[in-house]
Amino acid sequence: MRASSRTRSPDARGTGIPRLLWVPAGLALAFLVLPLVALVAQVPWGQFGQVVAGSDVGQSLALSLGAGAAATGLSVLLGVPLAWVLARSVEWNPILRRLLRAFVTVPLVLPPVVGGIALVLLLGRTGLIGTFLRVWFGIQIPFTTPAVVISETFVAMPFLVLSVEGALRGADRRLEDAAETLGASRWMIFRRITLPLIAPGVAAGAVLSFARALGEFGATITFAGDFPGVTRTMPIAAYIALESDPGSAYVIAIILLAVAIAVLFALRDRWVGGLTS
Amino acid sequence: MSGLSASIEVARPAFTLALDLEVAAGTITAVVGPNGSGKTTTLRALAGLVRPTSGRILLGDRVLDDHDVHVPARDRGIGVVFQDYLLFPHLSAVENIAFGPIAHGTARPAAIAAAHDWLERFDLAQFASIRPRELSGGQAQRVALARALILEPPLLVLDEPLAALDASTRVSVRAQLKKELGGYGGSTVLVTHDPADALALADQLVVLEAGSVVQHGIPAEVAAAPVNNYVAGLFEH
Amino acid sequence: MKASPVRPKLVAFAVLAASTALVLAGCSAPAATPSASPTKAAPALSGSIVVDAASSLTGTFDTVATAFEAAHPGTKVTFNYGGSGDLAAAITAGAPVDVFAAASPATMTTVSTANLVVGTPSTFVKNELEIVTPAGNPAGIKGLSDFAVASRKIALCEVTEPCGAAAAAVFAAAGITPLPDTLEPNVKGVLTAAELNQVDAGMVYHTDVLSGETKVTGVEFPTASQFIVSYPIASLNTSKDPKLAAAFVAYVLSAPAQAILKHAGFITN
Repeated sequence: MRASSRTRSPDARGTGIPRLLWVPAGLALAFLVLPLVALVAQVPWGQFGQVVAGSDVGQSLALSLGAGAAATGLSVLLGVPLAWVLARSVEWNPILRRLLRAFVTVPLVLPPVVGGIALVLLLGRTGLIGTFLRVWFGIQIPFTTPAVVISETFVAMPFLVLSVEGALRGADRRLEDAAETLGASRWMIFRRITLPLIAPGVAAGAVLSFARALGEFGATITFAGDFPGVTRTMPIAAYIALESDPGSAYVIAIILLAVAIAVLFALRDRWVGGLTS
Repeated sequence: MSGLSASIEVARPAFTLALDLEVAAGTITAVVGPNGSGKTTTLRALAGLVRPTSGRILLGDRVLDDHDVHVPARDRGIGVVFQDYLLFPHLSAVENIAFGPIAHGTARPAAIAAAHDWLERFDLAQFASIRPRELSGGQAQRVALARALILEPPLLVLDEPLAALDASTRVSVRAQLKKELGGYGGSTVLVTHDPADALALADQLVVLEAGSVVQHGIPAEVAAAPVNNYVAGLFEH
Repeated sequence: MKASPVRPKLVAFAVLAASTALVLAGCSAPAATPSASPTKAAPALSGSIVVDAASSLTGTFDTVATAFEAAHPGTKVTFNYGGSGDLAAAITAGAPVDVFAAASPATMTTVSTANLVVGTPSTFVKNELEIVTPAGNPAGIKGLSDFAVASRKIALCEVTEPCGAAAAAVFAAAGITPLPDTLEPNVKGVLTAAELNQVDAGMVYHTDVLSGETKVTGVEFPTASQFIVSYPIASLNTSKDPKLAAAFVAYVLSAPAQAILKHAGFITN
């Protein structure tokens, strides 16, 4: 490459982006960033403390964080084995594999309210399983905090499963062979070799699941309902607050934005590695 | 320990691997052949990672493979040193070596202590808490060897143990390997494409081409009287 | 919870009632209400308006609009139903709405305080609260005190909505602390919860119990008549078609519309 007249390393390339692309790219960036700027600008910072201290915001935040953590934990406990099955099902019937993968991905593309309706039809008082739960055990799940956890797990688990599956596919299976020749049982191989190797994928998946669970609204309000302290998560609280106390709603929004940023920070450069490996 | 007596047949897509191996305890047999000749399949069959289509593998008085028997890899007690060594990247050198004993039920402190002994023996004491990625090729190979030998297996198989090293290190590591294998009392099967390994290390040489043995014997004798062009080419300097 | 769709039977009856009323109106003495007699050759109204209406008016107001559009061909009335509090907030935030029909004076005040109302709002109907249960009242709800039983599943309106505020007043007067399991953003949400047997009881309006037909059972309570809710209606000064908006408001206050509303269970003037 010929050195240009500007002082630049002779091997440096130009960015190669056609100037025409800067316009839509800039618009896209503005589209994504400006709403957040407006949010930050409109928050009643002066009353921030008293809004948080007063109202139900603290209660909703505690509920959101707790339910989100529970949903993430459940996603990891159930999702890692599922990811294992998905990743190692290479020898199966391809149609069966595709079906399995489709089922896992459905909550990702399903509108959350639809997910909520489905959960009601399954676990509601008159639901497929809910009827038996009520009649045999006297258990009613809707309108309880566990219902929130269930709604959030439903939408969040696929993130965990797909992230871990990616990590499993990228893991070197020959290491498992080596462990086998050293006498390790299948459980020991999973616990001591496979799990530590996919830990970054699990962590990335867990962070994404947590973020998704925190933000869940449609399925939660449809299946779990809305009651302060029990089922009124932060997104629902923001929605309710908007009509009677917009300042409160903006404060809730800012808190959720801060959590989102924290999540992104936790992911950092794991973002690409964990999900797409 | 008494030796290995194996008659292995494995159907592969391109050919059928068929060979007999008799390796007395305390001796080293090298299986030499071009890539794709079936060397790795032989090794995996011995290790139990692949089940032979037919044949018999007998180690001492234990039947490992027969027409109605297949002892799984984890129960064979065969030491394997893999190409690329396959050290567990998230464990330190001493933890890698202790892995086998722990898998067999040894308490962790005892296993770690034994692993330290092996590191001493191989002159690697200062690398005990080092991760594999920070070890040189030669150091990694010795850790992999120690990891296999700590279980005192009656059979040790090595897959291209020097292939991952550059030419200059290979010579010194080969000499070290000879020394270390000298202290080992079981049967050793060494799989390699490099005849120099066979000449330096092995008591017996088996030449494999497209799944069949074309010549076998003492390395020096095979080199002196090659049976075909490939074998002759192996020993040309 | 979503609002229920328009009942075909109700529409058919209402159109019949409206047509009858129109004929009668033409034959009888002119009404005291300021609505123009539909049989006179008034300057033709046209255009379209958006009406924000309390969710308890769902279906019924559609029928009123159909009658209005039949009386004034070329006009179109579109509805946006929701909790009155939600709607008031949207209007004050600038939603382009022509008419607001709220389920409480308080929510209308939100809008008039923002100087968005033309003239003074008029009360066009009243509504009475009623307990609603799933069809057949499976849990055997008898009255207000059942709402304080923890094991019962109860749905109430958000307290910032007219139905929620009215219900709160009812319970406060009875000295009962209700234990709801969920707070719905509008009264149709409570109704749906009862229809689907998700809850044992809820508090809705008498009109909602009627609109739920066979899917729900209503349980009246004695003090209901002391907590009647007034529904104000007004056109907004942000309307792009103030004449049509005013005409619709006038129509709602007129006999044909009142008949439709009365049939749906509202208390009319």
